Amino acid sequence: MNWEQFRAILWLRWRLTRNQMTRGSGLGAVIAALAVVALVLVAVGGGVGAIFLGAVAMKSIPAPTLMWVWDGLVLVILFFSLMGVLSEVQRSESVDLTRLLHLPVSLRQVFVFNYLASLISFGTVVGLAFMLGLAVGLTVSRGPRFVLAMPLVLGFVFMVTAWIYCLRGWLLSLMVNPRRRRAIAMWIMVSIILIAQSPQLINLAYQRKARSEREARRATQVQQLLNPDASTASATNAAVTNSPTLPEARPDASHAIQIADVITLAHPWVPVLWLPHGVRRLAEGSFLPAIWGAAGMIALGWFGLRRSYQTTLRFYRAEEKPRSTSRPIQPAKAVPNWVERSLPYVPDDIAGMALAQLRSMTRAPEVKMMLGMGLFMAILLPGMIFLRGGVSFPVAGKPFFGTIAVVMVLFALLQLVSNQFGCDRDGFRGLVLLPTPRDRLLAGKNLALLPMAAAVAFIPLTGVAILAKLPVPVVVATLLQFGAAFLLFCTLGNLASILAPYRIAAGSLKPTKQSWQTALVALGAHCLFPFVVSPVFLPPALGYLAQRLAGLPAALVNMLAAFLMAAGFAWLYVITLRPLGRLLQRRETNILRAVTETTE
Amino acid sequence: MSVVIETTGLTRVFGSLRAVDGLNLSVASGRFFGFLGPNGAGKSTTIKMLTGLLAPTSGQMRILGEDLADENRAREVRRRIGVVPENLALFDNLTGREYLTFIGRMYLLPIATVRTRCDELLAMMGLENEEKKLTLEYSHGMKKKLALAAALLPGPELLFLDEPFEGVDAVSSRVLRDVLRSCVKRGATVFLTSHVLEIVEKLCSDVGIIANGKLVYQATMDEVQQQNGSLEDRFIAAVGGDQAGTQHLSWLAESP
Ligand SMILES: Nc1ncnc2c1ncn2[C@@H]1O[C@H](COP(=O)(O)OP(=O)(O)OP(=O)(O)O)[C@@H](O)[C@H]1O
Ligand SMILES: [Mg+2]
Repeated sequence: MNWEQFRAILWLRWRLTRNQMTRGSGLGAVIAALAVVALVLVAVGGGVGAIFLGAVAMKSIPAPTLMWVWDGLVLVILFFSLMGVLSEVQRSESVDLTRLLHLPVSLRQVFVFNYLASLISFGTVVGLAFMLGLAVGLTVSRGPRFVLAMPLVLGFVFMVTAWIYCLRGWLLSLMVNPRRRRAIAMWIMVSIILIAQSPQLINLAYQRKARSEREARRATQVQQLLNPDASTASATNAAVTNSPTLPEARPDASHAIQIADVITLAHPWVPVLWLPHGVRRLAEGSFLPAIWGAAGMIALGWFGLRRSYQTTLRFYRAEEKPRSTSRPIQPAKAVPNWVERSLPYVPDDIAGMALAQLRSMTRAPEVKMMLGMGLFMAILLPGMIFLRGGVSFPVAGKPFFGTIAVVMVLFALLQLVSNQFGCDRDGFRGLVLLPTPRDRLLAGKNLALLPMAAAVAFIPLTGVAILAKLPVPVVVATLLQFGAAFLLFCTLGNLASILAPYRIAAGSLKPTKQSWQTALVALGAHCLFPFVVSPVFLPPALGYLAQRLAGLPAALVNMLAAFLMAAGFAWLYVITLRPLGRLLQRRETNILRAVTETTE
Repeated sequence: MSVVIETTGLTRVFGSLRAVDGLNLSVASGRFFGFLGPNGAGKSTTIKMLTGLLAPTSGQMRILGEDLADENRAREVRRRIGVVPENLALFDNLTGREYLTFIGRMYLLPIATVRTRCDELLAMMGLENEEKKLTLEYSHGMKKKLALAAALLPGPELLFLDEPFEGVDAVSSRVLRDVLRSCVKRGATVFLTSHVLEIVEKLCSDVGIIANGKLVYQATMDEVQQQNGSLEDRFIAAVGGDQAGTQHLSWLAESP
């Protein structure tokens, strides 16, 4: 491959990124050019700023602190690189090797140049500029031996980009199979969410620790206030016996130091930490760790690239190792056909719609993910309330816990119901072609959600019922409230689905192209949901009031009110279904355009 | 003989492009109509409008005697038509049999009927051994065949097929042609688009040619044959294709 071809590949990559950002609108070129200018400015600015930072601010900070600073940098760069590769693979519009192989170039050349092109990303460019700047600054302020920080930085960037490239190639090769592709797309989304949340989680853990330390301190103070005259020894004694938090507090503080020690000790053994480690040892005056670290990281990066290349080679020569998935083709066995079943009391077309929808949803990875997250939320939050409240929550509040769990479960599943036609993708075209009255389609789709929502709600509700020892009438009332809330949930979801449909990427619930209006409606539906379902809190509230004011049994009043409310909402659902169906029919060509077309 | 498809001034505009431009079309019942035209002429857009997948910008359409402007009527008409749209209409997460069962139930056919028709259609299309695959995992041709099976399942009076033979293997294509012929024989009407003029010549009783959104030619196959010349000659004459393409690219004629 010569320079011309490399330029062509670079150009292709740039065009793809540009089109991605702007979808080819007239403003596209301007925005993209601005983005490049911004990238250059940020990189240059970051680099220069880092020089000053290194030259002035880091002149005399202790070596361990210097190491922690570089640790932070490493974390940030790893974070951005991972996010970058995951979102790129998810889009899968990247310059994938297959699209270049018909050109007159060898696989090795394409591989190498594609790797080089992958270096031109926001995280890499800015990160590299900043770290090199810092190294220069340190050289200025702390002496020429910090020149060695530069090969360390280069080795680090090489290693990280090489392994990220390896990861990217591996993910892309896995995604060739469409079914696996969706599953991977889903896992990538979960990872993105988790990675994106990780700073939050760390922060949370830190705050908790800080809080426990504060409480410990307060406990000590309280102790001292209680027996001001007592000698130190007896105060400590009392603290030990009376306050359970204090004995934990001391080890807690030293605990943090211990962890820091362990991390410091671990540095030589973790390749991505060789950079901070090398810098620390440079600050302490020894050269060897930096040299060894740089050499080691370059070697590891080289190894990663080689590995990636060999995998690619095997893959394109179709030498993929036979996996368990490729079993010999078995004669087709009758798969039980759910869609054939009839449901008692349910008209044939509603049942058909419901069963087909349910069958689809049980196979869709994105739905499984939603259900998992719903379950997680529904268990975690009430669980936290219980743990916080301990055993001493007010008896009158008990009936509300079930209701809260119900509302939380439905809220977590709202995304599933608020873009029902977007989830169908091309299938929605099939629905438009059907002669079925549209209210029946809606009813069928809602019916399919019932077992899903019920399955998710089952565990938290059972948990609440057992933990709070809910009496039977309250359990019945909670179930009725679930029914009522579910009907409201469906009605709101139907309305949002009809008014603001949006296209979503295969295997995810992520919008691919969403106008701000639809985004607003979707957001509005989420914000509105708590208000819409708030009436389900009425029955337990009525029960409570009836007991307080008239001495009636709260549980029974709750149950009766819940029954009346569920009946009322069922009636409301039925009478609003018709107009919603008409609205759907009127808007179905627009919805079809929104959910199936990439361009508008 | 009644008219089953009738459009007057049917127009669809995308931005500044008039994809279908004042189309006046009429197809009589029991005919086998081939709708031809170069790429981007507006064939798929026309079919989408006739089947209610796309709202026309202006103009009237009557299908099976019903005015499509009335939404409820339009929906009822769908009970009597079968469609293979341009980008198909499959659900990713269903198997072929499940999808056909779903369609059959939505047309309110008895379960026993649905079951036998599914068996027959899957066997006919050579999909009976793919029971475990989701349509997501189907190949392009398999998807097309499944969509065809779904269109045929309710026994429609009128079939709209957008390039039904594209991507379909020779065996299935033969079977499909026989099926379509027998549909027409029992009185159904077929409206199809195709780029394979040989198939159209063999199958169709009528052809219409659209270019730049306008109907430029309509005749029965007998008339085409009387004007001695193949359908291809008619087509090229009608869409105004010149020989420009063959004269340039002279470098391709040189020895490499
Ligand atoms: N959703 C859309 N948005 C914008 N333009 C469109 C859209 N759909 C079709 N067009 C344009 O309308 C014209 C007609 O398209 P249509 O798909 O009907 O062509 P066709 O005759 O089916 O072509 P082919 O033989 O290639 O299938 C084309 O120029 C196309 O670019
Ligand atoms: Mg077309």
